[in-house]
Amino acid sequence: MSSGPAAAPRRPLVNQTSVVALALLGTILGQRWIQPLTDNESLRAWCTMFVALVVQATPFLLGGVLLSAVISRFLSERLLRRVLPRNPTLAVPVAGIAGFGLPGCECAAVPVSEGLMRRGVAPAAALTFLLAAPAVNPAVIVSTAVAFPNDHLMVVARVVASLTTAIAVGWWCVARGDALGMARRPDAHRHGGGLVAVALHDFLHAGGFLVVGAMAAAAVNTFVPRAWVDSLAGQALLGVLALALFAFVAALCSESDAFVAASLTAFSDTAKLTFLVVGPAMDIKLAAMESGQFGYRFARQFVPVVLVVAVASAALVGRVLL
Amino acid sequence: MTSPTQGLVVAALAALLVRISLTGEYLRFVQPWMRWPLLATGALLALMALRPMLAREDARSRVPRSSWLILLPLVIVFSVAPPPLGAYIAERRAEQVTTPPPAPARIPVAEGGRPLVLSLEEFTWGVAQSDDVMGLKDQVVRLEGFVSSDKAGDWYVTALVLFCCAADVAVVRVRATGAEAPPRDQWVRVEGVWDAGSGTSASVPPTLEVTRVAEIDAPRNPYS
Repeated sequence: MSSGPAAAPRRPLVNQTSVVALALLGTILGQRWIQPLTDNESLRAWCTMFVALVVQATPFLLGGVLLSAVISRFLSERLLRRVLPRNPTLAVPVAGIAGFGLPGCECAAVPVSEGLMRRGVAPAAALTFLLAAPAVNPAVIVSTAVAFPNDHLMVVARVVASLTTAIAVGWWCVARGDALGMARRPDAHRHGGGLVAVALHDFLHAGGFLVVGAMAAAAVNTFVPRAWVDSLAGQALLGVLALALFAFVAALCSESDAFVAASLTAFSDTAKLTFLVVGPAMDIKLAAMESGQFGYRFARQFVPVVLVVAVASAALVGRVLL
Repeated sequence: MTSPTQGLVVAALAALLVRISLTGEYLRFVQPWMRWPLLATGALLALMALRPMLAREDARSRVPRSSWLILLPLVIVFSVAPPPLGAYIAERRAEQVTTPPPAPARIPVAEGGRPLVLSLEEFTWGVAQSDDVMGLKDQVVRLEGFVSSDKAGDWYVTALVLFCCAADVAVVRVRATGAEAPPRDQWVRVEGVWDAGSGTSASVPPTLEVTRVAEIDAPRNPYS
């Protein structure tokens, strides 16, 4: 708890908080002089996109860390045991199906899966949930159906391929076991933090990586000409790989990416499906957040595996269904 | 990062969200329905930041260095004041192959001698219909959008369609002929007649033979 200045012996005049506060005040008061210095069209477009990505994600991230804090505090392990099979191999598909129930975007799913692990859910099952939830939740299904009004098979294919990806990666995690090298952060509860303190700590942690991802995604969306992507539409294999890469670097919300996919008319349906399956499972923003949450060693294995499995599963499902 | 600084970082983000949702600036970044979620998120974050801000300066809990970057959006909004996306992005994204816009919920149909008021999406949808259900042939239409141009020197009445946030906008544009180009990024209201046959395939925008151009103020919501 705080105590008055009198109780703090020899408080230094200059401390971190006052320096930051002064710097912020300087920016706000100095905007009249700073603004003309930034009069550059492409820089301003980058700024608009960057702020847009962060602003759009923040409510979902806050919802995610609050839900995560509630899960790790209140969800009883007995209830979890009853729902999730104790055997991780069986728990993985159940966790994938559970993804239908969380109508949030990928930014919310990262802290929630961390909360599930804290509560004793097998990492493989929690990661399956992390991959499935942003791809197969009701909001995504509805927006995909709206974006592809004459092509209901696309909705089915998206759900099937995303679920396949999530479950296959989950089983890969079971097989890898401890070799995954997942860095678990010390549980904030042990430091005597309350529910709000835990949520705030998670928010700062994930938020920083979210900003890093948003910076990169805004740069891609501003500076990479879409014509480069379109120029590969003609080739079957290259088209699939081009849209997989595009989904990774553009880092769009899973609730809106179907509209962008529908506008890529020059590409084959399988390539569009790949775009829809890769995006929610793995992108630049998620890779940054996951290496922050679970450690760089883990992310170095997890990110490429998810990408390869997602592309393969989309290509396979696309071949059969579309 | 000390605990009070952590509180300050979160409070700065909260202040940004509250500010942009109250001033209407949020419309440059996200969809209109996001206003109340942003306001609620801002208020909640501010409440959560209160206690660490009042903690002692030597109270610490470890957060990664990247958490400092949470200050960046606030700094950018105040120092750069990012404007709504406009001609720059429209011109860069114009060459992408696009799908025809979806059918409007209610199809506007021309009647009488008055100009038919349409959105750019409705107009580009209408000209692509082979049976001309809107009756656009020889009909005076009124459109609104901002001005963009292309390498050939033509100018366009342009709109950006926002799906989720400003990073995913798509371009809808109509080529204007018969009138001098207004300044780039200027919002205009134009009246004119469709150059019948243009814009029937999605890869080429339709052409409007413009009879009147009026410069107007930018709308509150810069996207459609």
